[in-house]
Amino acid sequence: MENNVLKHEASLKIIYDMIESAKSRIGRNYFYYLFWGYLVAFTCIAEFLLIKVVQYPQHYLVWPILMTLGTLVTLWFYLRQKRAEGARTFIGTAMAYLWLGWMISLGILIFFANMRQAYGVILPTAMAMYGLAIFVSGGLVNYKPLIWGALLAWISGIIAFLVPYPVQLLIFTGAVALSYIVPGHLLKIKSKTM
Amino acid sequence: MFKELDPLLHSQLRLSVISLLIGVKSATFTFLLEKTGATRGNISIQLKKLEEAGYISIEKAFRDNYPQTTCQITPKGVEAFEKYVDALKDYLNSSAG
Repeated sequence: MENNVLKHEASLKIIYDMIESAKSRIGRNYFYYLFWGYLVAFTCIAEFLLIKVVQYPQHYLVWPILMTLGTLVTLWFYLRQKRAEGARTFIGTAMAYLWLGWMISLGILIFFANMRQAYGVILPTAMAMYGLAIFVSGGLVNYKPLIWGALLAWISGIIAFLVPYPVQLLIFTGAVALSYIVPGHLLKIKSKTM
Repeated sequence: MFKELDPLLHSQLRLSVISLLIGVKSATFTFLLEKTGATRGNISIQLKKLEEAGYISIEKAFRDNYPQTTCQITPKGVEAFEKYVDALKDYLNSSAG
């Protein structure tokens, strides 16, 4: 690119082109949606089967094992992506803080709910919190499927408060499939057409 | 009467750099190089000019044992960019009208 003096129309075009090319593209982040969507859905089904079919008393262990694994994979992927990207966007930073905050809040919820043996509130509250996180994510990047997904997560959270724990697992599976896996696949398609 | 266009921004490469930086929190030298398609030498000179004017800040650090230069637009740079866009609008409106 030469460093010429510009015509006014050309200046405007440069500004437009550069701002467009530096914009954060939500489509690039479909990995997170698909990975966490399938991982949480799999964990819910695995625990449901451990309760109902295997009748394994420590059925809840699938959560710490798979979620720790998921966090490590996400961290590895995030650091690799961050290194390759070259620019930090405001939306990217907001997303990182939002989900980090979400995980800290979830940790507090799980710790105190277990301490007070209020196991039944963990999944419904997590669903409501998850609704908040994808609502904000969808709003930040102006992506409607996530906003609709948030609505679904909140409704699922309300229903989950009224049913027994194994049924909560099935509701969570459905909510995650519709509000995370489906938008994830839509984003994957979108990213390939961009 | 037209507002004067900032001569520092009224050049292809410097305007490209500022337009890239306005939309991000920070960007690496490599990112700016890729997006603008400029040569290393040319972009270094223009970054230096923008830094001297106080429009951007440049931070040099090491990452994974490699030197990495990161650029960020300053509040003065944001203000200059906004003024430039305003002045540009005036010119374009007058030529359209």
